[in-house]
Amino acid sequence: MSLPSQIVQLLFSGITVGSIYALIALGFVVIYNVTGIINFAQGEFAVLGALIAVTLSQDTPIFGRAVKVTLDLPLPIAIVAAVLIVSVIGILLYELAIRPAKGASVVSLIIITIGASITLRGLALITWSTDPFRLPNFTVGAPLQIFGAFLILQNFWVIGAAAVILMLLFLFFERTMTGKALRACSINRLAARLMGIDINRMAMFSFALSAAIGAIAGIVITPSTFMGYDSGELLGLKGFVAAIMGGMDSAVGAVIGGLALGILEALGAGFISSAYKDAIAFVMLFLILAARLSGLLGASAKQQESGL
Amino acid sequence: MQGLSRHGNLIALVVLALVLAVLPIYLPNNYQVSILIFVGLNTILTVGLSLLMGYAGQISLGHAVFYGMGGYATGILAIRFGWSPLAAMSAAAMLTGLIAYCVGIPILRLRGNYLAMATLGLNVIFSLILSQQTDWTGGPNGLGNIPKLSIGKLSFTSDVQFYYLVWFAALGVLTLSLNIVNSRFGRALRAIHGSEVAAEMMGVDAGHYKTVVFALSAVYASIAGSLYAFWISLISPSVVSVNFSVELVVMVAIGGLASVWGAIFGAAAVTLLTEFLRNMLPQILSGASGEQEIIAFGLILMIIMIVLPEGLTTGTLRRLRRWRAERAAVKEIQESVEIMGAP
Amino acid sequence: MSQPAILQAQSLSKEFGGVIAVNDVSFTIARGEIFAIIGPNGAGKTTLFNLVSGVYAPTRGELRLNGRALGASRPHQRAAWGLARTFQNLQMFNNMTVLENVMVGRHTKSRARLWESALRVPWARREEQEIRVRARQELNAVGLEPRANSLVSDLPFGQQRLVELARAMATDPQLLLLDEPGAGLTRKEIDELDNLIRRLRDQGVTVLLVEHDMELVMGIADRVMVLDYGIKIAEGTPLQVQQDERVIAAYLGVETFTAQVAEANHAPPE
Repeated sequence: MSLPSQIVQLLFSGITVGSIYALIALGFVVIYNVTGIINFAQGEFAVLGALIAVTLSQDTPIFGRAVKVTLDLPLPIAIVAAVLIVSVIGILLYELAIRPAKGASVVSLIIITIGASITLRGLALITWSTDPFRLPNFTVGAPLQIFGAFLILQNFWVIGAAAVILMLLFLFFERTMTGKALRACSINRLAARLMGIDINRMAMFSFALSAAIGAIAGIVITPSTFMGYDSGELLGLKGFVAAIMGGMDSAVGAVIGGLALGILEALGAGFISSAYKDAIAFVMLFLILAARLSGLLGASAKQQESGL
Repeated sequence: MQGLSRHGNLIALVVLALVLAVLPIYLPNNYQVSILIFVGLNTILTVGLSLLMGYAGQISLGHAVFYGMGGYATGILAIRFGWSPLAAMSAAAMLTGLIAYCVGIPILRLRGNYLAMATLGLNVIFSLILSQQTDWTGGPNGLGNIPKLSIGKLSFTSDVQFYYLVWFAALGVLTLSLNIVNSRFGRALRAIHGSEVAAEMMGVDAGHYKTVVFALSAVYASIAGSLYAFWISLISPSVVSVNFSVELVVMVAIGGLASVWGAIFGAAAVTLLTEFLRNMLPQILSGASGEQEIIAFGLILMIIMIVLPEGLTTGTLRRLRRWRAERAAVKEIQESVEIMGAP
Repeated sequence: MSQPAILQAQSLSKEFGGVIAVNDVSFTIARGEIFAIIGPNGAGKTTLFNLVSGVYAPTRGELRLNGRALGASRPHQRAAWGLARTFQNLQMFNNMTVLENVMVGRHTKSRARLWESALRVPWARREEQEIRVRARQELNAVGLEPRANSLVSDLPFGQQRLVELARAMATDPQLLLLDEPGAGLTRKEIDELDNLIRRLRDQGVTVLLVEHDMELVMGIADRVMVLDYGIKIAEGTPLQVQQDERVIAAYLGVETFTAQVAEANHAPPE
């Protein structure tokens, strides 16, 4: 393969993977903006979305192959159902674990969401055991050929999903009352409450929304890569890095961060070493944290200004 | 947080030492002894992590890194450089402490969520390096044939010998840590946790103290890692997994974040529960692979943090105390009512 | 002002992203006096306090403590040089007992390090004992010795204020900064505080005070500096300041100020 076509190939796969990171990063940002919590179970939403869609649409052995699910729903219906189910899981997570711990310290909240992620991963393990699963491609067809690079059709679904969700989120936050209320919460929680916005409902809603986005991310990538009960850990970490790259509180930033991370990873794997592909995200994490350190301290100085 | 008095600590330590000394006599087989060795190793780790998390209030989701660092450094020095086991272990502890100190200076300036993610990132990178640098670390298969530890004429080969060695170290770490908690140093740590800005104003160099306690907990972890490597005579990337780091946080959380004694309790509870579930679950759930115990941990972790955010031991003690205080107050009111009601 | 200066501020300024919170403020505090800073809300009092205690570094200007340039030194260094402070909204070590809170105050005056503490070397144990005795004395001075072993978070607000004061005094300060010590206290508690601050001054501690309570300020301050929008508009004895027209104008409700002052002047003498 010539160098230009290799670069196109790498860029395309980078944008594809980056779209997934972007979606997971969006999930982080939605919850963080409304509640100030970093949800360590974000990657698990993707896994659950994918595995539930698989189970609904194809013959799937579950519970240690003791039960075989043969619903065989059409793929689009299975996908919608899976996204809805995962949203409910997101709501349950908020109602059962986050809401009762009201007023907990940051460290406690971190431990709680880690606990949630372990629990969800364990439930996935019991249900689907350690088998890897795959969904069929959404559309059948030969890869497109551009500049000598082969572009798989499924990847366009992934990129498209990210673009559509970002657009819908934009419309939602700009045009609907609920969206505006959510934004009010992220700007000033106390003021939002005084304006009569139900903070608890907004927080619950942010968990549902973020779970749905995560589930979609998991579903669109499962035709191209195997999904197992423990795939969520790395997806979650990368999504978090993408969210930080985008500034942690901006949806557009999260998408840019996700794409940048995906492209960097693809180029790194292609030109440097694929062995250290997963390290790239964390090197980025450290670079950004180091760069932001002064900014972070600035922010804490401002807090002290108001606090002292 | 008031723990036991100085006197109480001493008695508790002596009682614990006596129980541990006679315990192997009553244990039917080596399996139980080996589980207790794991409890001992985890105790060394959790006591250090509790100093960092509970007393100084800094989270680490990458503590397994220092455990692995100690184990690998010991193995590499002993095998590739032919160092005596004791020298290798000491050098590993110093090296790990030094590395933790240098890493700690920038990283501990981060707070809360960012510190958690940065330490987690360190863990992922470190385990990647371990699997890739095959020349030094033996790659995914790990480093085998680590020699047994011998100190002077004492050599530690059997499980029971190792049991005594590990618990000797664990009790040593425990004693030192209890002293530290009740000292100028420990007070400074707790002050940072309580209010960093006020601690600074009292003359506590918060950055320095956080870094030193980070390094100290890394030295503890390194010692545990070296002992593990000598005992199993193999160290592989699996011991440096993020899961193990999280498990350590679970142990500390169960014990009560700021409680040295709770750390032992947490280490024992989680280690024994893991073994129990590993043995029981496959019998209950057909086809269970024996890893399902993680659900139990996840649930325990959430429930404890929601219901008793100070951990099982500290939280329960605090509730008990509050309940007693309330009862005393009620009694007092009742008595005063009676007096006033008397003609 | 025959006494030498303990704190000198030279053209001190602090900006936050273009907003000037403290603008070219100079003042000198003499050793042994009670110096008060007053001003309407948002006048920059707390920012000035944070500059003196080292929470912020000044954008421009210079601070000298006992002639030593403070530069951008950190709070913990300034503590070792004889500066102590309390906080407007309490900053207690809630995870510790009352006694332990005050013991932290002895930090700069003691020296046991990690290994000396871990191994409990004899002199470190003696030192620990001395810290304990001294902390109890400080608690005694504010009348809280009986509550020494309570968790500090179990104490009522007014008593926590006193713990903070005892903690600051345990550092052997030369200059004590009190950030609105009267906020949230009852009249009776403020009167006790008044006495306490006078006693500290008599022990030779210089006091820098930010306070809203005019009665307290006008009663105990030797000199008062008035800030408005970050600018120093007046400085002098309480009497001089009360009659300064710029000061009266600066207080939005002019009547409020004169009323407060009148009330302060009619308060029974100590």
